[in-house]
Amino acid sequence: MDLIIKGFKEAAKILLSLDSQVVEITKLTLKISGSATLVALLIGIPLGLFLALYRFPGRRLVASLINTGMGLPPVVVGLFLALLFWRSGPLGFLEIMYTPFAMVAAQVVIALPLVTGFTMAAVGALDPDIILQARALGASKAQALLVVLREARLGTLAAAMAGFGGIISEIGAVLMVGGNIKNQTRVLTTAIVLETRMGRFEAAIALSIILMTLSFTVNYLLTTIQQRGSNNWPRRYLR
Amino acid sequence: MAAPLLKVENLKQIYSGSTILDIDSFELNSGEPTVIFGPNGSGKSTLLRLLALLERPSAGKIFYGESEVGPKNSLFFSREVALLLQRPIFFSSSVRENIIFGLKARKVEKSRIEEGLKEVALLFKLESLLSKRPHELSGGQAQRVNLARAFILKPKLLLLDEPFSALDAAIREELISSLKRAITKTSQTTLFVTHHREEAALLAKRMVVMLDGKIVQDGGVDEVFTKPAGLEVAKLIGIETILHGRIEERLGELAKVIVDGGSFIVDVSGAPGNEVTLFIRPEDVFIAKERVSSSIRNWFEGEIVEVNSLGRLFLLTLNSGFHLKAMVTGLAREELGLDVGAKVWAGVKSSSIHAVKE
Repeated sequence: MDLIIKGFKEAAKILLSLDSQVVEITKLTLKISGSATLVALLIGIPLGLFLALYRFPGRRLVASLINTGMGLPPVVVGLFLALLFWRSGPLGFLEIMYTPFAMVAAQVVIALPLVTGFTMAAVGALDPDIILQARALGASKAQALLVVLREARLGTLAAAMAGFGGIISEIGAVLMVGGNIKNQTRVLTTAIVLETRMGRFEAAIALSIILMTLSFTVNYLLTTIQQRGSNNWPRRYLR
Repeated sequence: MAAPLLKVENLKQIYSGSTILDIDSFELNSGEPTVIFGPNGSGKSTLLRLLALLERPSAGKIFYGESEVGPKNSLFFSREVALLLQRPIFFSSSVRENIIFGLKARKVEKSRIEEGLKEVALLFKLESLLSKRPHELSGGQAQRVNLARAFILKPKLLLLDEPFSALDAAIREELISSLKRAITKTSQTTLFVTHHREEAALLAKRMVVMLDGKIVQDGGVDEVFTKPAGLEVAKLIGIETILHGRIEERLGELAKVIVDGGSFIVDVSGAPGNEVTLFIRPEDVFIAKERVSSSIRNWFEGEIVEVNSLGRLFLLTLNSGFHLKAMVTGLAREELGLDVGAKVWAGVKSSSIHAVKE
């Protein structure tokens, strides 16, 4: 118990002193997971919209692959990307192994199925005539698609939350393709593992607190936006 | 002469090999309240979606004014038109945002949006509902919002696809009168689709009857109601008595027509021996206890075999050798004792019988 209490006290000191190492790691974590989430949203939302709106041969197979991808083990993603990015691998010429690029790529692969799957489900649950209604009032095709996304915003924001939450806390993939190199590819999760292994529990606790605070803050902001548009459920029917 | 507001030529819509719509030509002028009337599945809604440029036709041309609509100008012309759907869908924002949606899509400046909103809120009595969410509205309120979001656009043509069909009679009547008021006040050109005879009669001057994707009659509302183009149209507009007969002899302008179980004096051309169909509206049949001396030339004595209540009115079936349907008020029914088994006289004017040569 003493160890835990002491750990938290020391962690508070580290946090309050704004340790430069910790700040650096936090900034890199945000940069990598933020960029990966953004890329996943930019690809995943249009892809989810397309899969929900259009019928084509093989659509079910693609949708099943995406749903399977939503539960992809990060360590497996890390392994396959490591094989791809390895010097002698098919993408070795890019020379991005053990760089933040490789880490972003790995996190995109993890977040993309989540974003696509959530968007597809949210759009699929809408009334299909919503496009007709928007067009009937003079919306262009692009404006009608924006209406669809706006109406499905609860789902697309859930997609963003699931994507960001899934990658900021994962370790397997970033460790395998990033390598946990100090000042280059060390992020919060890999740093926590390292500090714990070295017995520096106070540093590990401090980093964990930052990780949880970051995750909570981002999710709180997204939840606030999401709830603004949600219906007030009439509780009288449940009394 | 100015070009009509809207013109279509050889318009066809084919879904999976079956022809849903096949219209040779149709024109609509500004300020001409028109109703498209037909049973479910006759292609009315498909026609409206094509006219609103929400679907591409399988064949044919659509003109707005002088211009033929094509892929390049379809967004422009689709914004000259507003379509009210049979089942309106509201976006999950406030009533206010729903109403101004179309103007925002057209990137209209804010001050004009506010002005338009004020006008339609007043016109459809929506001032107190603007901050509500659509799911908080009653059926009638929702339809008023639906009307407002079309009227705010001030379209050159307003297309209405049976917007009141799912509502109960009282709300429907209220909405029809509020729509009629709005049409008069704004001089809005409308094309209203319905399968309700009363709505057609109330809202339009011109009536286009559709059956199986084709226009089968196009004329004034009175003309369609009194002179249906054929058996199917007659049934559609509620003509209950349809009799097949043969001209026996000419009586000047009129002719004596023999039907199975009786004869009529009707206003029809044709030579003796020609086959004709007679259409008699139930409200054109006069019922009395005794034969009345009047200008009515067709009188039949018969027995009431069926009485059906239509609310405030009653539909009687009279057996006079053939079946003749007559409409009476509740008061008349009570005073004359018009019940099953009662013996009565029925009179029909020659001019009230629409006769079509077969």
